[in-house]
Amino acid sequence: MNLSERNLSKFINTTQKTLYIISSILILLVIWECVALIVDNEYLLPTVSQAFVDLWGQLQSKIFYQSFLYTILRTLVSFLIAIVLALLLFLLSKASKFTQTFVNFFVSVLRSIPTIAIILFLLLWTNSQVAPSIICILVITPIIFASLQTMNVDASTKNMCQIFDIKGYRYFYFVLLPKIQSNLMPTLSSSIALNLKVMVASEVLASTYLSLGGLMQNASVYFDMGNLMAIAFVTIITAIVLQKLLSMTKYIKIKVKNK
Amino acid sequence: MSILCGCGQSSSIVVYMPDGAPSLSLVSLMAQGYKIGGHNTDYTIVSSEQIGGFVASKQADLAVLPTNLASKLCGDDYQILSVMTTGNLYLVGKQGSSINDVIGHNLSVINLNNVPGLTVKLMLNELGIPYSEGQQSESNIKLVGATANEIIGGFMSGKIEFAVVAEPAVSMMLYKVNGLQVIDSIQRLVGNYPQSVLVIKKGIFKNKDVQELYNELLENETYLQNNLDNVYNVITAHLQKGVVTSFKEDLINEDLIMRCNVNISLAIEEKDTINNYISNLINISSNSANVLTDEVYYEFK
Repeated sequence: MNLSERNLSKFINTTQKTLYIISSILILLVIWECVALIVDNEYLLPTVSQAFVDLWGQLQSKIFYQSFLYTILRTLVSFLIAIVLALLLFLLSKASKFTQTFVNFFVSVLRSIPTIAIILFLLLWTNSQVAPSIICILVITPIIFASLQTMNVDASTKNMCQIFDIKGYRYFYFVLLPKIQSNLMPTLSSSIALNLKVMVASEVLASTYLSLGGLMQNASVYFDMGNLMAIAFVTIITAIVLQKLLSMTKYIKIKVKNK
Repeated sequence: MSILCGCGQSSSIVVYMPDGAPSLSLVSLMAQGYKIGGHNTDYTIVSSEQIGGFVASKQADLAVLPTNLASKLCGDDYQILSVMTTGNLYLVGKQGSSINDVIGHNLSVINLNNVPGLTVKLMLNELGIPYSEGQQSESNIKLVGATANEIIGGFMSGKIEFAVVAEPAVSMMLYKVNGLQVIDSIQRLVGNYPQSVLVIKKGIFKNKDVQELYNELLENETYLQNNLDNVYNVITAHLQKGVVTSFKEDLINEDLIMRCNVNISLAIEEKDTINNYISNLINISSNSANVLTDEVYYEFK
């Protein structure tokens, strides 16, 4: 197959994929509209058109953009902290058998804590702006830690490191870091979407001012189902975009310089 | 299930109300098992988050709703029969003697996004006191939304100085937090307002039955005064499964009942007050309520 044939094939595949995605979205919208028309109750299920009218209204509101930005900021900050914390826990677990046992136990506890109980405590200790971020860190850290744990350094590499006395910082930089990248990147793209979801849910519980969750809670309290669907739609699209952006990081190769 | 008017068929009538002060407005009916129009009547107390759903899905034949929610859900299928409670919000704190002492401080408000928060904003507007939900300065009040538990914890830890809370949460806080006092009543500052209303499903009740129901409702106040020790039992006997009441048995007393402000009156006679209140809420938050038309008010024929 020559270059032009390859390019044509690639173009056809991409176009086909795009058409499939558009068709899937349209089918879901049609199903939603049909169900809404059958239910015939805007408070139980608003129509697609009502939701889009309300979405347009939100997109013209300053409060919406402020809320959106603050939620994204909180999501990204808590995500970064979760990554750093998971890495630190991972490195600590490699220090000795005792620390490995301790860290594994600690992460199990983190994984099992009921989120709703924690948020009630956090709201007493902190405030409605900070509590959702802490919840996200508690939920995402065990997931990232688990993906780091699946990372394996094979025996021959370990032998080589022993022979050439590669340890400490050099072991981390030349051996572990490339492995972390290949193990972690797939998990990060799915975790960011989860992080956003948990963030919005926590903001609803905490009634966080200037947040997507706060806007959802307002809409729910006022029985404004159209707006509730519109904000949920924005959250879904944002989660998909964040997921796609992070999945593109697999193309970033960490260049390891030989010192 | 609902009765068919004058067709000879009968089934249970279902009445829903949210936990809290609105549930007190139907205590006498629940206590005696009052049958509306002679039909079996189920009274159920649900959480405040759920009450709208029972009306939106048309499950309820009658329901007590926050007035702003009633303005959204009434019209095609429901009408407003009566005002049930006229405000139960109170400014509490460990120090201070008036709302002016809150200027320059944070004010925690229970349900900031709903009627309590909107009413507090209405009050501050009428008193000419600037407020914000973001930046706090020496010349304004910063409003912060909080749950009852957060407010209790905040008072105990000293994080919170002032709060606006609804009864029966007020009594619970006065009991749990040493030195806490009621500084002022929001109702005194802004005037009594139609906080919750009784809505009735259209076209299924005879006029005579509704009249008798309303007359029976007017006896509720006397029942509350004379049967304080039975109120808790009546409420807990009608809670939906899984719902925990905000009332504590030991704390139900005359002060609590008075602060809940159960004041029943015909909605049609209070039309101007209700419309004015709705209009004020809409001015603060356009999504919070809908303008009411005359057809929404139940009228005895």
